[in-house]
Amino acid sequence: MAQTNKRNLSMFSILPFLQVGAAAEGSAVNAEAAGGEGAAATKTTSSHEIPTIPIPKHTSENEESEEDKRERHRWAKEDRESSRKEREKKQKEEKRKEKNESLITLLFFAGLIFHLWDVLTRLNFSVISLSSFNYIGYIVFAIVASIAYDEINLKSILRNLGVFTAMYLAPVLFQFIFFNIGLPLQMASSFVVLGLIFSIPLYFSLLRGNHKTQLIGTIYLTVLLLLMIGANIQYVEQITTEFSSELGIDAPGIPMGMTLKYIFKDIIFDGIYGWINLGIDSVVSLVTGQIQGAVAPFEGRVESGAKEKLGVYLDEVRTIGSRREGDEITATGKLYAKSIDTPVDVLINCIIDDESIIPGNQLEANNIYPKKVYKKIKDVEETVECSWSCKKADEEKNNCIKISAGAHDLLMRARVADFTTSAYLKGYFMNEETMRELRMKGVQPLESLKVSEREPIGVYTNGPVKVGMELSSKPLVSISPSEETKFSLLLSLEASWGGKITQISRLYIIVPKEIRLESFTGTDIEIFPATCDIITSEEQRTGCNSEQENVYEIPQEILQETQFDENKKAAAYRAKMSIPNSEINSFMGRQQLTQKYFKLITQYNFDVEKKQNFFVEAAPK
Amino acid sequence: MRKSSVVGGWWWVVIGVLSIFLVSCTLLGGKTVIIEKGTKALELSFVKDMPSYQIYEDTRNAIEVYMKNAGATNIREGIYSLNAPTQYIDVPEPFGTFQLQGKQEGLPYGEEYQQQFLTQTKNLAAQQQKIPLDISFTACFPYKTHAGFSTCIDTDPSGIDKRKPCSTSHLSTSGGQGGPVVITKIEPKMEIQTEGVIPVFDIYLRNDGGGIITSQKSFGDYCKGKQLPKQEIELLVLLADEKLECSKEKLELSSKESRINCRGREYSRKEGTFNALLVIDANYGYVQTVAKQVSVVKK
Repeated sequence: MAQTNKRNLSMFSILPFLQVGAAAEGSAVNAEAAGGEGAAATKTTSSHEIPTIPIPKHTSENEESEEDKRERHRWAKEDRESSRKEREKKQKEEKRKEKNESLITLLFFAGLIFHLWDVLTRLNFSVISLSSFNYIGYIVFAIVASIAYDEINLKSILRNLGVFTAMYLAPVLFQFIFFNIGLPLQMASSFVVLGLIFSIPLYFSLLRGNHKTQLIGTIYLTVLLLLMIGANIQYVEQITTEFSSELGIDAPGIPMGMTLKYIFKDIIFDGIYGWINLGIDSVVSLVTGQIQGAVAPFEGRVESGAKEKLGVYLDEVRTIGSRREGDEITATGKLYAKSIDTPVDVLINCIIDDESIIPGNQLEANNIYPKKVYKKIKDVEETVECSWSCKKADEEKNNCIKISAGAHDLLMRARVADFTTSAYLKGYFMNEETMRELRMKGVQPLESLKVSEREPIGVYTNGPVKVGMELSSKPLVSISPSEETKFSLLLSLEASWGGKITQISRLYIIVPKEIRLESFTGTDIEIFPATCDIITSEEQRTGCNSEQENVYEIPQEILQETQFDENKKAAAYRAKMSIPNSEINSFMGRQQLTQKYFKLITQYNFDVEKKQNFFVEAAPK
Repeated sequence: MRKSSVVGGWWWVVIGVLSIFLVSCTLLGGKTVIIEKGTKALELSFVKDMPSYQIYEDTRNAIEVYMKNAGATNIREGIYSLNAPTQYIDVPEPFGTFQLQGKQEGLPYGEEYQQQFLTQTKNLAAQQQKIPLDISFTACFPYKTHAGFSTCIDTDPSGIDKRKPCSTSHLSTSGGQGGPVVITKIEPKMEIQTEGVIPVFDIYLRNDGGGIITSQKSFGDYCKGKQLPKQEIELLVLLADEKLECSKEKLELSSKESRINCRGREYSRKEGTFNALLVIDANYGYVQTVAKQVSVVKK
């Protein structure tokens, strides 16, 4: 538009000079045909249609020249005026262009990220509902593009929106064409997946970008095209191998959609995500759980002596063999159990989402091996296999499962029953008067007594649940010699390792004998002290000393009230405690400062899940 | 000329021999120890590897504490206590008494002693790899800082007598006086009276020993787990063997430097200006702690 305007302006700017020339020519002709031929001359010139501005009528040479002069001045003035306006407009345009350069680059990168996100959400079938968000994104980009390039008005917004819509729909059109000319559906659908190559980032780079963004855009387009070509070649190979498998050769192919998913999601997205998470985890362990405290309200850190990750993991979950509608679908995964001394039950379950016919339909595998792992597992690595089949034997047992064609979610779940995590918190107690006396002298009590850990936080054994423990009075609890000492033990449990706690089966709090548990999380249920024998696990009892410690088992009715839900993975408790006045001497043990340990043992059921997408092809007609 | 040069040569020989003698004395251990010097009372430390930084659960271990009286006061009735969390470590006899002689003639470095405690660690919970705990040893004892300074009783502060032997000046000390409570500065002033002067001394004291000052009478309370007694330093200030009247009988030290004001009797102009000995005795109880972090680990 700007160039066209410029061209028009140039034409206007030379017009006055053409007029001047024409007028001069006219005057010469008039000079030749002097006396009475003036009108004919005027007629002649008008018949030639050269001048667009009428030549003024004149009677004498002097009068004509004066009028000519005035006219010429007027034209010259107009010309200067238009030149000035043109210059100003040009300058404005340049300034705007310069200003927009950075915005365009920014928009290009924003569009690039948006595009990748769009592709990812499309590939992840389980979050298909998210893709509607992308439409909003496209509208936003269209408005921003209008601001960047054109005047902000409805017309330009609608125009940009139209361009984007065309770009967006183009791949669908390609898919339609390719499918109708006989390309397989998967190959054609790759254009939808990759189709957004005609999308926002390329609009900003190739159509409207500067040199830099054009170069990046070209590279991006090339990479995408190569990926598409590669994926298609692989698909052709897959078809070939499937033919081979029919001939009895086992050579599983990889569907193109999954290849693209693998490239985009598993490598790029998961890789970056994992890398960022790893960094965050490292920082978290460095700051000893301070970030964890943001999720769970109370602080805790994993025991420093822990050598490695302890718990149960699922990994390498994938489908193997045929993925054709009606065939047996088999999924495998690896179950790892690390450094667990306690015997635990691990129940395996596999589910496939089959929402093509019935929304929310979930199909459990009819064959799972092993369904239950029960033993004293220590560093176990076991392959789990699940299958959905509809063989004769299954039909006879009325246990026939067929997976329909299309995209599916595979969920492998390992349920660990009665997993135990133990934790402790060190607390310091000091005579109130001594503490006051020391502070009055400007002496910090813990410093004067050479205490090494002045801000103790809960320490828990490595496992899938993070335990936070704190005392309400930090870092010292003052003991009053004249009245009962009251304080609270604050606890939090938070699921980690991507799993979730499904049930807390037991929760024991072990405290020094002199300490009474008054109430737990505001309930009226009275909890009575018991000896260490109340702890069901013999192994856990070893760390308990009935002579010096009392055990409080939190009743099920309290635990059930504070169950974890799926969204909130953390729960917090408050245990109100007291030390009766009569017990203070025994509690302090003739020391100014005494260290006491609060222990916690919790048993819970924990689910570890691993999801995988896969595609089932339609059965050949 | 020749004779004098020979004599000069002999003198050089004598000086050389004496120098060798003095140097050899020093090298052979003839180091002079000033008794009432230093800011330490007890030197406390855990004997190496007793306990070691990691001790196994459910085992018997020995804890040994090294004690040396590095100050100039004899401790006749000190009390100690070993503090360890009973949930993880049993110490059958954590309390006791001790006696240690301070630096003195014939015992220039003070008396040393090693106190041993036999302990038993307890079991850790299943899965628990280790548990860190603080073991601390605290000694409570009465102590004393004794110092003497030469000061001037100037009965002519306006300076009429030009031949007076001395004049008042501030005294600053460094390095301590063989106890953790250190007299850092003395500021003498002569208050002019009708017939003479009254010497007034501002005495500054500081706790440089790194421990806690308690009262001399109830020095053991802290180690018995009783309420911390007040920080009270009983001061006795003598000027030329005469007791001075101090602003406080018992001084409470702040975290920094504390000051006490003591006044003597009136000295008439007739007595003239003279040097006198100012003796300061500070009596107090003192608490010192040494701690070590150890971990009880799984077998």
